Amino acid sequence: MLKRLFSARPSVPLSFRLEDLYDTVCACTRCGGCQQACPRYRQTPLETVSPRGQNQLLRALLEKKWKPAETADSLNTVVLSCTLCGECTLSCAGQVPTAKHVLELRRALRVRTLPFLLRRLLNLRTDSPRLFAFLLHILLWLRRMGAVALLRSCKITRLPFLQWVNYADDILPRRARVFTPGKQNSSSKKQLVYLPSLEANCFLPELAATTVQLASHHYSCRVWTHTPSGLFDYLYGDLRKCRRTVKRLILRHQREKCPPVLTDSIDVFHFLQQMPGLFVRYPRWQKKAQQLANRALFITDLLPKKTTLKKEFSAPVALVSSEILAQNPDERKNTETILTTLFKKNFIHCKQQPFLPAGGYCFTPKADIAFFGKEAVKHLADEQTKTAVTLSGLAQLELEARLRQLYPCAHAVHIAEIGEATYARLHQ
Amino acid sequence: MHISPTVLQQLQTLLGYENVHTDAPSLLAYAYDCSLSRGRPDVILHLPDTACISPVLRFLYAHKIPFIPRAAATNHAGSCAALKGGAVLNLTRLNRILRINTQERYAVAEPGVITGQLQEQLRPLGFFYAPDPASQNISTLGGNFAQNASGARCMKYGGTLDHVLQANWVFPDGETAVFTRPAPGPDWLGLLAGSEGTLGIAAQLTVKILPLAPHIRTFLVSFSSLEDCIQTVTDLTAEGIILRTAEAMDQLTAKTVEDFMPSGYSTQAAALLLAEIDGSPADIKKEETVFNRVCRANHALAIQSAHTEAQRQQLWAGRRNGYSAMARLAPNVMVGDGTVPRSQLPAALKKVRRILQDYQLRAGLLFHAGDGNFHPQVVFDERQPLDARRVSEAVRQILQVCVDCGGTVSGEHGIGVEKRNLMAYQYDAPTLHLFSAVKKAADPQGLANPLKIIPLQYEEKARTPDALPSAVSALAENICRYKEQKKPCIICGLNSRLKTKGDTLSSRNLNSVCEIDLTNYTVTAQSGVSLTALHKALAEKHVFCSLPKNDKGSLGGAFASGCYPSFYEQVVGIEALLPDGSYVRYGGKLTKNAAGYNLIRLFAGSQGSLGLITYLTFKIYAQEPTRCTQQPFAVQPFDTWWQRVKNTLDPENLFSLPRPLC
Repeated sequence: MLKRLFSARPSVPLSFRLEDLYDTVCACTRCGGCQQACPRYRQTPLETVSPRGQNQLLRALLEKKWKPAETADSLNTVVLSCTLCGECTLSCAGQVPTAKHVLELRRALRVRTLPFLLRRLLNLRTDSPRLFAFLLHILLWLRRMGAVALLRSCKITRLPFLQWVNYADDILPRRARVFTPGKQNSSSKKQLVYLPSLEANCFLPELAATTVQLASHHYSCRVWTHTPSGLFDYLYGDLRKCRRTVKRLILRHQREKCPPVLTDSIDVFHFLQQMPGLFVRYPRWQKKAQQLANRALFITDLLPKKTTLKKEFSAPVALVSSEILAQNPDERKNTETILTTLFKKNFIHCKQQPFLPAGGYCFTPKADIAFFGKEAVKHLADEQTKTAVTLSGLAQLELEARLRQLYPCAHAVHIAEIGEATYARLHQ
Repeated sequence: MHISPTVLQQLQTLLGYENVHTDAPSLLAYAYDCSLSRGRPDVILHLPDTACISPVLRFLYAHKIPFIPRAAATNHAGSCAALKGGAVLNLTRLNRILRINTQERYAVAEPGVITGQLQEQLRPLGFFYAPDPASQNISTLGGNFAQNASGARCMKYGGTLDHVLQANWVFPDGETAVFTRPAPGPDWLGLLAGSEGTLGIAAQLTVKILPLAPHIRTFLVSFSSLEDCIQTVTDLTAEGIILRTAEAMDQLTAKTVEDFMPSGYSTQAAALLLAEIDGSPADIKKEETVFNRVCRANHALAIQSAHTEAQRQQLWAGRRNGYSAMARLAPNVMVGDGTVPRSQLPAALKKVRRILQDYQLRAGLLFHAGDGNFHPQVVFDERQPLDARRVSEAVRQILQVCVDCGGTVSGEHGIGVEKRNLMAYQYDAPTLHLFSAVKKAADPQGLANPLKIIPLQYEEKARTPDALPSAVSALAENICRYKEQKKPCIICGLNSRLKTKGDTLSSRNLNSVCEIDLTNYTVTAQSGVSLTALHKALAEKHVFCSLPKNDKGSLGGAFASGCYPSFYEQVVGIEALLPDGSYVRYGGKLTKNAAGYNLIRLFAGSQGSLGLITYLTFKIYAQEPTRCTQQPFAVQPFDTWWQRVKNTLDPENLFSLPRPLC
């Protein structure tokens, strides 16, 4: 579907900042160490979709060895194939950030710009959350009633002004509820700011509530409801807009005397950590962004790495990886350590880490998400897992739907729920 | 080259529309491998199953389209570059493990199976596949076979060549054949291993699997000099201990690795040796005592032993991350692959260091101390043309040093296009001509992975051949006489097996044991020497070989008759006279050699049909090894492939022996 959509659009001239990308692209020695780490390559062992292949294509583009305009179709397919998970960077000897390269290439080719109407809709989430929630409800209701499927099957959504329906149908989760934080009490504990992710804000209010509860064990928690982190703009919008959003976030952070910033999504956490990279040309802002990055916390930072639980959790549990732009394996290792501590032998180290691309963010075509989802469920079923732990709400939503369909005896939980359950047991 | 739309359409009919790609991104993405070489193909063919290999090759051959088999493309030799354009055959989808038989100890797999994945499947069953190239988690079985890859365990277990039991082979013209081992006639599997896709494609491989070693003990030993490190490995071999792995690195590499990933390596020592022994607990205990004694006798500064799996993994972490440590220093890493006889290793490494200093290059030196194979990892930036040229020149000189030390330009990475010109430095014209003849026998039109391995216009560039020993030149003259008279003759040794009364050309005058090398543990002997005399000479030096003592024949006869197939893997060097009177030399005192087609395996079991063997170099042992089992002797009929090679090497059927029909 996406291929059809993009093939209709003429390719645009590239406008890379060569000096920004060229060095890291050339750091790829073509050793192939990334190949087997890439979920997409494992699915279809084609060089064009492999991280090595994508780096070499980008290099050829930068060196002007071929003209993308002549092969818009195939190039668009190639750049859309990446799930942006960053596994290739983790396995690369030179730590080449291929996911970032692909993102830049998508930006340059404008294959990831959202249709105007959908962009307007998503922008409403910060400007007018209530209206956003209302429109979202209507959209989801229409989808449940089968109107979207009908439109798509009649191919009416191919009409230029209705193309956004396709996008929306592909990336929006199945349900939506807007998070409204409760009354925030000030206490003598240290201050912490909770920056809910888009999904916690709009689709999973219970995740946001659990996170607040979890944070309140150690901190006095303040919630920045409907404050965009900039990740959405970074992935879909242009960089200037993303920088503006981030600057607003940084200023607010500084105004509130740089408290620790907690987030419930591993993707937002990775983005916060990599935020200084957005301001390479602005050292002053880069310094400030670095301050924010240093203060960023993920749920696992709040969980005890060593506990004295009298009885460990009994259900077999496995970790499902879904993050994007991963650049260091510490967070996953952290989570694994915590899960091993809590679940002991009930924590299953799958032979192959179940992986589910963050559909809403990485813009993976729906058919591919279905494939990866099926594979992840297969791995979970092979290991007879009852609980699949995810590190982001978006992955939880997606996985929950897959499990309900294919392996109903298991369910997906966010790491925050595990954390809260741990504290509940500790306090018993 | 231009491929017409009609041909493309026919290919699409043959393979399916979705498996034929001619778009620019695909052509670019399949134009490279891990080396610096590039070659843009004209079409990419994704092979969906093994059954379509033969029809596709037949089609390409009929249309004279060059083709390049390609799997994971992790080789450092430029073997996957489409130098003449044509079609790239992507084999990565042929990735099924078809059977694992632990009773008979073999596994059957398609060529695109990742070697590491096979290991993972075997581990829970208590087995392993012995070849362990550093890239095993990304490289494929087919690729390993095509490059004859080996790895750290090569010293004890051998390379890919020795672990493939059967290959379903597709020749460049689409003809198929099944090569098995052991089988009558030359060891074709041995010849095809390391052929880099120039002789055809393996559609299916049956590999040997071995039970996992029950106990492994790992040691990290630091030495004040490289010579002591190498001498330790030699002394251990003399004590009858064959190390499971013997990996070493110099001080600079140890420092770089330690900066990148602290693994407890000493940065003060001039050389580090990471060695492993395996076996039963009693054996390990006994060997550990000897190991410690030998290390101390060679002035070891410290001996560190891993008692747990975690400690073992920590010691290996540094070695495994050697490449990563270097890769972070600069955008490109050029990995060399020279191999020298083990005794020459210190001298060769000294020269290598000097070359690197002269060219002001930064490089780590990692080497397999057991088999004299070393990997200089030179870091540079290929975007700087001067840098790239300097590195290429330095690597060229390093490999020339290897050849000068009696070694080879490639131990396990293969030749491809990167080291193609250096083949002319290593081999003389007749040997290169023989390589060319083998290629021609399999691929008369030169379409399979063209322009690889054999240097262009090698007659002018090839090294000058050494003068022939008098006994050999007398034989060469005899052959020339037969050739002039167009009179066929029968090649034999002591005539103990053939017992022919026909016109024979015998090697009985070549009857001396030339050198027993107690550093490299090899013996070089003339082919006419009787096994009794050979054993006597070895006994005087208190060493042993794996050939039986009760055989009355000659050494050459034992090798060429096909009676001792398990002896083939002991042979590391060969010299032979060809039917045209030319003299070829291949190998030496080397455990590994991936430069060119394996001529040892071509002459093994060839029963004098392809040439007259004059010299053999093979491994000897400090303790009595398991003797080779003897097969009954029979004159073997030519099969199709043998006949093809015979027709190319000996078109006049000069070396003829009446043979039964196939």
